[in-house]
Amino acid sequence: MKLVGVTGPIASGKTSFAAMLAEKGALVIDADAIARDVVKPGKPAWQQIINYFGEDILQPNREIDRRKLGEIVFNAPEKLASLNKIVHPHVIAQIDRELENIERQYGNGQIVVVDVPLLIEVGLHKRCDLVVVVTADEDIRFARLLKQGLCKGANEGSKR
Amino acid sequence: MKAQKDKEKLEEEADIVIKNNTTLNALREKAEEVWLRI
Repeated sequence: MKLVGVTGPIASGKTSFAAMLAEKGALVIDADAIARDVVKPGKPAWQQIINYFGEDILQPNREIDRRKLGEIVFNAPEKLASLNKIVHPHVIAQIDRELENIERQYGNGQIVVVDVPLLIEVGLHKRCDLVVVVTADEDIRFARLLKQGLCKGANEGSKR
Repeated sequence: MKAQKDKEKLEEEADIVIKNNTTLNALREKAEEVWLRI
C-alpha cells in the first residue's frame, strides 16, 4: 500500500485534490468525516466531550451543536487543544482500522490518500510515502469559506 | 505570527506543496502530476 498524506489549511482545496486522486483510482480516507462520526451520540468521544464541555453544547436531539462548540473553542486555544486531545486519538484509531481493512481487501499495490487537516501535528505524515500540502492565499480561502457559508467574516475565518 | 510559523512548518514537512489560488482545472493538472509521481 502506498500512503499519500494530503493536508493544508481550511478551504485550501485539499479535499477537492484528494477527490481528484480518487478519480485516478486512489482510495481516500477523510479524517473530517471520521471526526464527525466519532462525536455522534453514544460514541466514546461524544461522552468525553460532554464530560468536558457540559450538556449546554448539545442540541435537543443530543447531537453536539458544532456551531456552539466552534464558538467556544475558536475563542479559547486551550479549549481547542483539549477538544483535539479528546477527538484525535479516536480519529487516528479509526484511520488505522480503515488502513488495515484496505490492506486486507486490496493488498499492497493500492494507493491510499489520507486527507487530514492536522496530518503533521498528529504525526501521521511520518507514516506516509508522500506528503502533499495544499495551500491558498488567505483572502482566497476566506472568500471560499464565505461562499460555502462556513464563516461570517474574516475574523471568524482566521480562527478556523 | 503563529499562522506564519504553522505554514512554514507544514511546507517544511511536505514533499510537494501545491498553491491552489486559481481554478479547479489548475488543481486537476497538479493532481495529474502527483499521480504520475506516486
